Amino acid sequence: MPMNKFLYYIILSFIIVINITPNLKATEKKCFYCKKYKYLKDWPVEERPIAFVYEEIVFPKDMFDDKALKNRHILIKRAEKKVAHRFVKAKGQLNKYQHLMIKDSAYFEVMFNEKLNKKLAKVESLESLKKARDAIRQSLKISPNASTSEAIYKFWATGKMMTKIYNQNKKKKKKNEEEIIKRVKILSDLKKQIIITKTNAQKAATIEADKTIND
Amino acid sequence: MIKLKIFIKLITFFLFTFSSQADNYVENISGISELADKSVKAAVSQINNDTEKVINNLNNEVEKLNVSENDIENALDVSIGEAQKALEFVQESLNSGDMPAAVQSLNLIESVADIAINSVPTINQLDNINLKEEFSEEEISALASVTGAMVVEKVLDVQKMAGQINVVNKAGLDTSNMMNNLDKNGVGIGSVLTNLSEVGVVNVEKITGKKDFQIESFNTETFSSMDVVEIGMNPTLMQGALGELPLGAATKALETLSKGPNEIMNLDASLITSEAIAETLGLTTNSIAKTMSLKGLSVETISDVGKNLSIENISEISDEITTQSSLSDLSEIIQSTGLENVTKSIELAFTDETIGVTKAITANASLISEALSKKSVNKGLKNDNETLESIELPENISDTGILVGAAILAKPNLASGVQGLVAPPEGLTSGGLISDSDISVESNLTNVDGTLATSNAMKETLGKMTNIEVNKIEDLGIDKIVDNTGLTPGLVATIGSAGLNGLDINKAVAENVAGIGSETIQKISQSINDGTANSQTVADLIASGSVNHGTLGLVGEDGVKNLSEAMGIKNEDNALVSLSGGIVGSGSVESLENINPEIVESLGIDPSMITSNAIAETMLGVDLVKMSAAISNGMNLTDALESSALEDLGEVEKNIAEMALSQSLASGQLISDQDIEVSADISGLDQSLVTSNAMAETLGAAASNMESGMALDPNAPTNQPGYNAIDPETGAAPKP
Repeated sequence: MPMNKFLYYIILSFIIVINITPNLKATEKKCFYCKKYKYLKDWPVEERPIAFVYEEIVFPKDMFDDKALKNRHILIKRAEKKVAHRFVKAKGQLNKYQHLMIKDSAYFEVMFNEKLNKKLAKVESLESLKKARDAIRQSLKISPNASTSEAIYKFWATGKMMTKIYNQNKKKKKKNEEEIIKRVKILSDLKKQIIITKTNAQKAATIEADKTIND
Repeated sequence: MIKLKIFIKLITFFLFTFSSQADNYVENISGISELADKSVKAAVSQINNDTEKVINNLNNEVEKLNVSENDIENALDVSIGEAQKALEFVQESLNSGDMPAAVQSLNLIESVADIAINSVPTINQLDNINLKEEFSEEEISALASVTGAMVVEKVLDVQKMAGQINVVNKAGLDTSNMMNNLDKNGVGIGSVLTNLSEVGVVNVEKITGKKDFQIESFNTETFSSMDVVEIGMNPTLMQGALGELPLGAATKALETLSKGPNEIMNLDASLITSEAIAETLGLTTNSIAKTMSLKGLSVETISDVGKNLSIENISEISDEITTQSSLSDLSEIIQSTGLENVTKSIELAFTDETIGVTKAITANASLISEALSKKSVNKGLKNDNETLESIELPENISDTGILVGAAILAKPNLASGVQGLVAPPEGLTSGGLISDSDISVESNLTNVDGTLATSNAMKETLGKMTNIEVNKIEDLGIDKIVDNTGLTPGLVATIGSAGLNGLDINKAVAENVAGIGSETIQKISQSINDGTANSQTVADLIASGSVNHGTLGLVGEDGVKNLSEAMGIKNEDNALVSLSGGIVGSGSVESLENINPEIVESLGIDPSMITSNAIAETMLGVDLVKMSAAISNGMNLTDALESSALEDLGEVEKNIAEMALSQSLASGQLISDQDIEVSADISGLDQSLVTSNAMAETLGAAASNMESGMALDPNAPTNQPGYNAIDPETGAAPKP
């Protein structure tokens, strides 16, 4: 009987260890600066990488209305709502409305920048958002080290241009003729076959080399 | 007299034999060893068989076409016709043993097909626009910068195509006739260059010496090796373009400008005075310096570069450069070069199909949107024509086999040269030693440190990479096969890995030798080699993502030691890391406390934050190339070390191909996702490495990061009651 009890406790401990380990791993913070600073107020400006320092921006014309430009609180709300809709609620339609995604990325930059002006912003949250910001910047090949204002202007101006293209072309819906499509397909297939030919050549040389070495 | 005649005949015979052998790549390789002979002949036979099938498939498809009825169909037909001729030339070249010409003919067909396909109008194009009326000056500056970044890929493609033309033309294909036929229909290299010239991306007059493009006055070899200044890129586009290219491209541009200030092109005619040129030159060099700063170069190093090149405004540069927007400089450049010129360029860039700006933006935006919405579009390689099948690689293929296969095809694959835009070493440019069919065991095309290049280190590296003893390597002739490429064993492994996966070998190599042709990068590397570099310079090389196979070879054994120790990394063999590009021999971070605090500070990190870390306790290997790429992409040191950690050194060393591939993909901004997707189902390697790259992984995580970032904020609008959706058609925001 004591033996059974011993086994019971061994198995129980084993189960507990198995259940706890992943939880410990899951709670381990996937951030760097957050381990030293919980809130932004704890993090001296002079010790922050430049990406975490608030920047005063002169916004592109028409990005915000006068009301928002006069009241920072309204401006922040506007930016957050745009971001929340485009990148969270309507993220399933990002590919369909790429022009809006590019334009609204400017609001994402504003939202991130404004968070850097909040003393009680959590550093963990900021680090997480910065990763997303850097990823979104890749759509226009904007450096992670570029200033916020540079990124805002690039997203805004390109989004404006792409919106013009979208609006101009959505009425056309013109499709290329069948004979053109046939020819494009021939050339596309040819390209694919050439890639296979080159890859096959290297594979053939590799296989033969491998065989000769092993012989 | 008779003796003299016999002597002359003998000399002629030897010269003829030598020259015919030198041109016959297949014979030259076969002469190395039995291994080389069998391997190269297997490749030749495979290309022959596959080309035959491709020709038959193409002929069958062409027969089914109706007669063309408009200009677009005509242009496509001419492209198909020229592709057919080039395919026949592939077979001719193989018959004469000219494997580089055969492979470059295949590459040229791809380039011709690309131009033709991109010439077909899409609906993503703007018909007309008046930029000055609808966009502010700041927005025009932003658009100029984005346009510069988006057209880089196009210029790289055209330089690559010029290199291909150079090889096949020398081998006997009438490329002038081919390009004239294509250009008459708007789908040749001349048409693309003319369009790029109108936008200010290149300058046809500067490249060819004639106002209008003529194939006869176009030197493909020279053009393919030019840097951004030499091709005549407008200063307003240069800022965006250099941002997209490696650091060495920017330093090379400064070197060219310091030697010839009048190289600046595309100024408004009314503004061409000596004062205007001086002003534009000052603004342009300042703008390039800002680009270098964005890439991670410190003010101190930028100032040193300015002093070395005697560029006054850069040598006196201040810390302010790090906080200024690069668009403000661009705005001034636009004013000095003429607003009219710039607006015309941008209008054209967004309205001309062949420039490909909107296509590039759309492709990038698709990648981001798919990753954010976690929807992936299946774009894998679907070969509708089943007569050409992909060979299956055996699962247990050896690293030695991969290295030999890659080395056999290295010269044919790279004979067109690496594009001058990325500032490669001279031997790897178009017409350089890389396109030489002759074998030369003493060539050192990537400028590896002399001590290593002349020692036994190459053989020893091969031994460590393949787990084969050095004397067996010599018996099989593996050392000669690899030496013949003139590349480091690490670079050969990268070629193998990229080639077997259907990736663009040229891009993979370009990325790994970028900057080696720049005197500035050479000087920085030399100072790291001889230990005179200060901690800032070491940090700069890492932070700017400049650590690659090329620089690791350039800094040599001592340089790798100095570079690694600064990061607290102790390598088992520094020569091995230098020549393998860190694929093998990378050491562990013994303790993060060993990291040089000055360097950590230079990377923008408080050293006191990294006194204890899980990485230090687990004794993992660190891949310097991946680490440098990660830091330059905005990661902090700990994350960069984690992302470049080699979790099981033993396993990694058993599969150098996987290691080389993951390294290429992690640092590979030059490798497009399109290329990666193509390779998905033709790989014998780990699929997860092929179907995902560093960029896609970052983006995949971004969606959840964004949601968690928002969720952590109780004030996030999605967490507010009464949240209203925005109309996706108009993008109108809900009223506050």
